[in-house]
Amino acid sequence: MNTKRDEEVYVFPNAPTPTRPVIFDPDHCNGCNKCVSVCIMDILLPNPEKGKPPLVVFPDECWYDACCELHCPESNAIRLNYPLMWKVPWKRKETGDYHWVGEKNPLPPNPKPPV
Amino acid sequence: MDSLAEYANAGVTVKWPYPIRYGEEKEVTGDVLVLGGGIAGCWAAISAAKKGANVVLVERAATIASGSGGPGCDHWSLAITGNPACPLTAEEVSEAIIDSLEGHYNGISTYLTARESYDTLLELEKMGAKIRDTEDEFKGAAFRDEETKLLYAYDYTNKFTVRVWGNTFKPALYKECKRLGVSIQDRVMATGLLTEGGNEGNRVIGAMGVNVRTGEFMVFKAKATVMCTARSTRVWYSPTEETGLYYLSPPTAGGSTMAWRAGAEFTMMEKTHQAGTMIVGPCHGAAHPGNTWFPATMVDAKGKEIPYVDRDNNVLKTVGERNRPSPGQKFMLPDHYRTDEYDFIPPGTMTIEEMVEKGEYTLPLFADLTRMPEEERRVIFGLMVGQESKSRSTYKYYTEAGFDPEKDMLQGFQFIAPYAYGITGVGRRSPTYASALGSRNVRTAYGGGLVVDWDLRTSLDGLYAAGWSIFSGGAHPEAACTGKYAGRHAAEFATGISQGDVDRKQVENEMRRIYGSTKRNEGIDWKELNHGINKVMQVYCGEPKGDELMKLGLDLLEDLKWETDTRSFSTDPHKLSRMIETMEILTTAEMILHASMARKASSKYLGFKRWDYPTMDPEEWRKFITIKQEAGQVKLGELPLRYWGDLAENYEAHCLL
Amino acid sequence: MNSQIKVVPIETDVLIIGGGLAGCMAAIKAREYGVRVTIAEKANTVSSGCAGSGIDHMWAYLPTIHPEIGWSIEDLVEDHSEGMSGGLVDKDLLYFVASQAFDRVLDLEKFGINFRYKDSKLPDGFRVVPQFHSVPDALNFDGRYIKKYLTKETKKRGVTIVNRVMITDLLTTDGQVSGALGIGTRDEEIYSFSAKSVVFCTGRVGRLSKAVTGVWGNSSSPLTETGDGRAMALRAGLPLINMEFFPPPNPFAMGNCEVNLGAPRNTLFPAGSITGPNGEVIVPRTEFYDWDKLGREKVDPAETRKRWLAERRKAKPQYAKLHKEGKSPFYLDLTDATDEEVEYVEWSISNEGRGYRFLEYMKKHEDFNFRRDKIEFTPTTRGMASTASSGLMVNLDMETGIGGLFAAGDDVGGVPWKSAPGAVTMGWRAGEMAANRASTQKEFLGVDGERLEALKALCTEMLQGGRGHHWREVELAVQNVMDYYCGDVRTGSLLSRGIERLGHIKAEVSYNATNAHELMRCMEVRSLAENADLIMRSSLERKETRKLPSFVRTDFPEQDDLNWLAFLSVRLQDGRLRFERLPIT
Repeated sequence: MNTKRDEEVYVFPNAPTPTRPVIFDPDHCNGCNKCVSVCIMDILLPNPEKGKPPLVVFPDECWYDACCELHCPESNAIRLNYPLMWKVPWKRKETGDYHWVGEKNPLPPNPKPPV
Repeated sequence: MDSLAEYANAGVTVKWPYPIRYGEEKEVTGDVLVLGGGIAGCWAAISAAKKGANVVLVERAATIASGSGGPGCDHWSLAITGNPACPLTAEEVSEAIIDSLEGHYNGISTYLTARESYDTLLELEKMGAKIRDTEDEFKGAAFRDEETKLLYAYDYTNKFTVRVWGNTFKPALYKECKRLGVSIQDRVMATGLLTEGGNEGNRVIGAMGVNVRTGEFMVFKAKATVMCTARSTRVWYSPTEETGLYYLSPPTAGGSTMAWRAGAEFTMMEKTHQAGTMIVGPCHGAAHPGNTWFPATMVDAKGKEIPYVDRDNNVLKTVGERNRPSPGQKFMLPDHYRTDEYDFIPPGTMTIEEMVEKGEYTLPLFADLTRMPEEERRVIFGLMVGQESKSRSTYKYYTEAGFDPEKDMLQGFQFIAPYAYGITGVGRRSPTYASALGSRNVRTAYGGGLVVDWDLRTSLDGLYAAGWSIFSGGAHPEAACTGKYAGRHAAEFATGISQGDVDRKQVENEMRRIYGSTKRNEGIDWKELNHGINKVMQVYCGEPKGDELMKLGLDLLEDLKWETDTRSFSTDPHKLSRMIETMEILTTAEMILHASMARKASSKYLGFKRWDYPTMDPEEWRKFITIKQEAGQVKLGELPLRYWGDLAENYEAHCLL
Repeated sequence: MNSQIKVVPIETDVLIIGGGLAGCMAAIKAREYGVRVTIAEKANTVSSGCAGSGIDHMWAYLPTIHPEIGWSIEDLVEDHSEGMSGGLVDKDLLYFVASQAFDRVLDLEKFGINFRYKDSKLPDGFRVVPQFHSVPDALNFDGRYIKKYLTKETKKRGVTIVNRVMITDLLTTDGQVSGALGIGTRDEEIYSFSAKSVVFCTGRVGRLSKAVTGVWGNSSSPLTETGDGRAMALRAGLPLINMEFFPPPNPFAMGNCEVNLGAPRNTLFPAGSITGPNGEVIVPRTEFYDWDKLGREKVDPAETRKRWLAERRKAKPQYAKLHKEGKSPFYLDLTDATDEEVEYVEWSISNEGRGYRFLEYMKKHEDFNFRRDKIEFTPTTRGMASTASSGLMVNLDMETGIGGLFAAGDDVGGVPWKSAPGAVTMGWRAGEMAANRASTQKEFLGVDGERLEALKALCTEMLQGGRGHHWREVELAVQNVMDYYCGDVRTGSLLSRGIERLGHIKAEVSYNATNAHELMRCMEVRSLAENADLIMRSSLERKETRKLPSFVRTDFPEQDDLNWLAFLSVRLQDGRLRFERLPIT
């Protein structure tokens, strides 16, 4: 996307924070709106364009229960997006380094998580 | 484009996708009406349907995923009667719990849960839920019963809490409701009860509600009604900015205020109070330190281990020791029952802050799973974090981001900002307890609610209650067992009675009450109202409490009501539903203030402090204070502690099994 | 793509950054020397800054009154040093402010602001009330529109005012200022200022404290205070002092900021007292010096000071403690006042801050009457003095370590509670010196093209849209870090952890702005984050607990005057922060 200079800019009130509690991957989302129907807080609306990911219209009400993700028929279509202000870091014992979800230079995924 | 902002920026306005039906009426009739489709509601519907009743279930969200138990749960407690691995009796555990709070608890729901919890779990399994380690992942672990493949938690000697795969529960319950032909009314919020003749205190003959997507007005006619709604989580803090992250329960409102308006009796409302640490821990990130992480080792920033001690100040080095009762103690009690005998905090233990001031420990603190036995580590992070409510996503995202419980320690938060919000400064826990991961002291979870008898009937005819709408209602198993029990009674009541006649005036009044905000396009939105209520509660109902402050608090709430009546606005059915919720929160706040003003004594067992009546639990105040509404006036009453009488005898007489 | 952002070049002899009290005074004075003067203001000078919604009082040494009662400038300095700063103060600078403030008042009068009243008992018609010192020290005046008058005066004198521009970069060449760069907060354009002298007048860092209610704007100082000057000074390699004096979030703060003045002095003088729920007096009304005795009786300054200090201690009740004991709510109580007194207090309130609207609202909607009704209020337990004591280091000519760069008002560190008199005196002086410097400087040093390109690139990146962070999310994250790691419990290990955490957030963030307004907010949050880092690092260095200005280190609970009656300066040198202890002499 270019800078906004070439486009018309419309005014709308500040988006509440956090703005994006869940993020849809349009390549994986099939637009079935299952998440819209299960969302506990009812923060999603079906996309006016059929087959496209739902709209997050009430992001500030998200409870971060991830039910949308749990009930999603596709894998990798929905990701929970932890907001910046709430991340629980952890400390790797051997190095003393801290890590957290979403860091710039992430660790490789844990290949053998406990089941 | 998948965010509204992008649409707006592109000049596209998104129309409300559902039809708008404000004020249009739809009638649904059933034998038994269940309000709230969480754990309690689903069980109530299932058990009533199994008794042959025609059941209507009304749920504000989507029954398949909704409620506090929607995202999952990691342990199932009070699995006593019928559990071959547990040597205890329902009586002794229930009595111990009740004794530990000197009777300031709900003996009925506790005991019936201890009796039915294990069987209920097995029933859940039959519906498709996973409760056993069928893959033998934890073969040979100290907490595993090799014969049944059940995994136990906390008290490995007495084995009455089962570790479960709670993610599977809500979908299983939903399927069962469907199978039994329950009429599920999702996205409908019940707002008011219908009573005979439209009068307060009369028999309940159904309920009214509103569709939260279309705004359609719903009239539910039923012979018996079961109240299974949640508590109001938004009384103290509002869902703004980041705040939605903190709640253990969905930040909606308790619907039991509709029973208040219908004249039902409530008790223990004064126990519902603000806790100082409420806001500190990031709930979603860590799961509950008191149960999910129960025996985890805590270390400070320099890796120094914080001793885990028992009530006698003996250091418990191994995880095994932490999961056995102390010498002389027959069994361990879950964390929210606190007495000298069962308390995990030995007297004289320093708080984290004191320890840091003395230079003994360096902040921050960490939960160190690396020092724990392999299977304990796996069961905590793999099974429990992976199944417990919102922390389920912790498991997934932390694993993806490289978190390895064999190598990594999770940072704790709780101690750092003891009074970031509010004026109480209470709630710091002993470091001997796995506290530093961000506990919230959710007192609301065990606070006030509807008074019930041995049929789980409220003070109103035709109205039953289960789960968190009952006073002192507990967690997952309590919700399930009381739901099941109340469902049976509601079905039985419904068989011998006919439908009542709906009073049109009551319907019209309710419409006037709930649609007010749709008539305006500007003014006060639900969030501003919520903030207003929160601030009143923080300042005028904080700790300690006093008559002068609380009176002022009530005045201010009265003013907020007036502002709501004249200035509230909502622009779509969703915002309308939030506005109605917030109005319920206002009512809950009033109930709390009334109850708190009525108790002119402090109480250790209710976590209740009055500066003007500082004596703790004087003899004359050892009783339940009840409140109800009569002709617009608050009517106080009382009930003796242990009003439920002999547990086993009464249960046998009323259980309908 | 970069070339798409338009650059607006502006050449001026003196560039003043921030058009609050200090900035306007600097501009007015600088114009006296015939040089071209430009104010770059983030909002609009008519209403911006701490005085934007009015001030009703301002302390000063009053040469026509104070000598008559035997009180000297040195006495004022001593009062201020002991009672307001605990000795941790730049006394020379304080003396400068005290001695110059009255002259500036006379200037303000010339600009049309009324300070004199027929009913005054004083020879020159002033109204004098007590504020920060042991004898009545503050002029009460009609200051509601002070910024309007100042703006008029600057315009009259030919100052160019560029409103709605936020300066983000100070430009220097070989240790000399060459100008500054900024962004339009409404027009998505870059403003490139070429200047011979630059004056910093940007203000404090108030917005770094999280509002406890979670509601934005519940703060008594303007939310434009994002420490822009401090952040730019740091990047330019200048030393900053006292950064650690940053107040933790206030658990008490809530509405009624308008009457939230701590003690019933100044604005609430003469009739205000603080009472408890049953009318019991918690802080009595402040005693007044009997002006009838003026010229006949002298005060004993040392004795008066001693009494004042003792009263101050008494008059600063621990509201939190009282609240716990059940002695709340608290009221601002004027019910025993005379009609005349009430009228006077209402006049003061209507000139101070948001008081005018507040009072109007109360009367209109609540049928409010001071004679009958008390105002409930929640006291702030920690003052704003803390961030005002931090800032740049200047000499008495307001010079910083960079040639041609001056600072004034709350951008200057070392004098807590310098407030309005600090702004007007320092601004005036800075304007004078900046103009002098500009007239002796022959050439413009030119705008650093590289820096301009860098700012363009940064703006372009922020305006890309898409998946970056909204400024508010970043702000909350930064505020949360301050809350947890630099709040009421401050220990070495926690602060270290907080610094790390903040570093992580900074590394992780990519700002996303969809328009010029949001671009400004992003830049502000960037300033806040830089200030947060400095505050935590400075807090880590100061290994003591200090009563005045308030500073708590949980792991060093004692005040250590031997080692720490000193300013802590911090500067960026070769990419590293260097700390230095500058003992108070």
